[in-house]
Amino acid sequence: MILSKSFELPNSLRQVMKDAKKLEWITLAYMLSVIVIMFLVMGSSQAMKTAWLEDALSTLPAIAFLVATKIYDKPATKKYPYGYHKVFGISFLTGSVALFGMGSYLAIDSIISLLEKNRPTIGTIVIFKHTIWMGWIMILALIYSALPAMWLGYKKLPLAKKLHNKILHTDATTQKADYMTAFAAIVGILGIGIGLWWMDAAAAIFISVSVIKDGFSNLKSAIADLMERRPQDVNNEEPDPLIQEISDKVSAWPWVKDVRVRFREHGQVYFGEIYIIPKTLENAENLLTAGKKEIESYHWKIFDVTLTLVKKIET
Amino acid sequence: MLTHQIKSTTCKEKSAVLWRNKIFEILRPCLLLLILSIFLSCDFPKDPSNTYNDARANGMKVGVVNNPPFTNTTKDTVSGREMQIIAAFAKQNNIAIEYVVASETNLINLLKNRKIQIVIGGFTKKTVWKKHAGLTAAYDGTHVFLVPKGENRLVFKLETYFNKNLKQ
Repeated sequence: MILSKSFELPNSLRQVMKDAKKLEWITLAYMLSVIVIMFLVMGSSQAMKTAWLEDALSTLPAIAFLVATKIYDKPATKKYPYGYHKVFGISFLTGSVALFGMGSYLAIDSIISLLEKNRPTIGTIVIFKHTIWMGWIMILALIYSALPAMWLGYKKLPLAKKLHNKILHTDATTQKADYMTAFAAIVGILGIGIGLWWMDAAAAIFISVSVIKDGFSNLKSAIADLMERRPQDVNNEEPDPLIQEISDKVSAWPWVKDVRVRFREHGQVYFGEIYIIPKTLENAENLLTAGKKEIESYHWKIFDVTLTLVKKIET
Repeated sequence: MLTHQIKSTTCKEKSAVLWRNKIFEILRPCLLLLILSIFLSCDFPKDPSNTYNDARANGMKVGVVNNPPFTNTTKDTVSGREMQIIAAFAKQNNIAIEYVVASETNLINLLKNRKIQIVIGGFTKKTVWKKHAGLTAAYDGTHVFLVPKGENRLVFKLETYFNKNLKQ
């Protein structure tokens, strides 16, 4: 049985991971307070209901990240010889399925509400003996749900890039865009206020479409990662240039005639194979051992490499 | 030397004017927003079907379900606690009211079609008509008035009245 070596982040990134965990705990605590407040003021507004569920869902990436970071660096066992790195991929998939499913539900619910001409009745609240329209309180709650979220998103984004962590990245980008949800819901509430009842449901549809969009793109990326697509950057736009660098590096070795490489993402790190046609078989054992060591110490993301000598490379 | 001095003062004046313009530029939208918000808050929220304003202009029809002691329609004149509240509310807001006595189902249908504006009769917060009518806040912690769904100005006015006159 070959066991994958135990994993540790490089020194420079350990603090980054610590900061990321801390920010996610803050996110979780803050989001819980948002969920409670939004629930208390929600009333019968469809836009508020949608924004509330969206906020409730947005705790999922944070929870997934915190759970996964407890597991991912456990040492490999006989049962799990590749280690636990893929736990990130699994939690990412779970979160995106939830997001996509809930988005679809919300869209249908909001469309039905619009078609049924469901006019939201919003009452009042008494504060210091003043009767205040509940809509204003809802708007305050929405602002509270957006501004700190945006700040957290901006804080987390660079950490996610450094750690090559896709859940953290998704979490950061959706939070950064959270003001759009809040803004749409505010427009819906103000719409109710000026007597245009349909603006509430319209805002809700807008929000649910944005949830579906997020869910779908995350789902696509999560599935592609589990399908062992070539490594991509955290935005899932560009192939990681690191792979070409490795290929160039190996082909520059004096004893190598030709080379092909193949890598896949296991959460934050990459596993892969390197096929080499050698110029000579002399001293091959030592050269391969040294080569493996060199590649695996080239970048922390290149975690586990198998080097194989071949006669011919099929293309 | 002299010309230089003159130049410099005009420069200063110019920059002062520029500053003033800039401040105005910043203040103008703020002022507009302020005026807008004051304007809005006077008449905020509005009724989608203009129920409250219509009631003030043309009078209001109140559906009554017999349910003593809240409403009592067995005598010639309607009476009961909720009748008193409605009458006082109408008087305070200059609204002429007309009562329509019928069964719950009929009254809810009239309410949905906006033929009447309020239904009373000791309904509670958990009334089965919740899906078909808007509810005011409970004036005594439990009992509510039914209004057409989404008529938020009417709700606002009723609740303001409850708050001022029925709670300490």
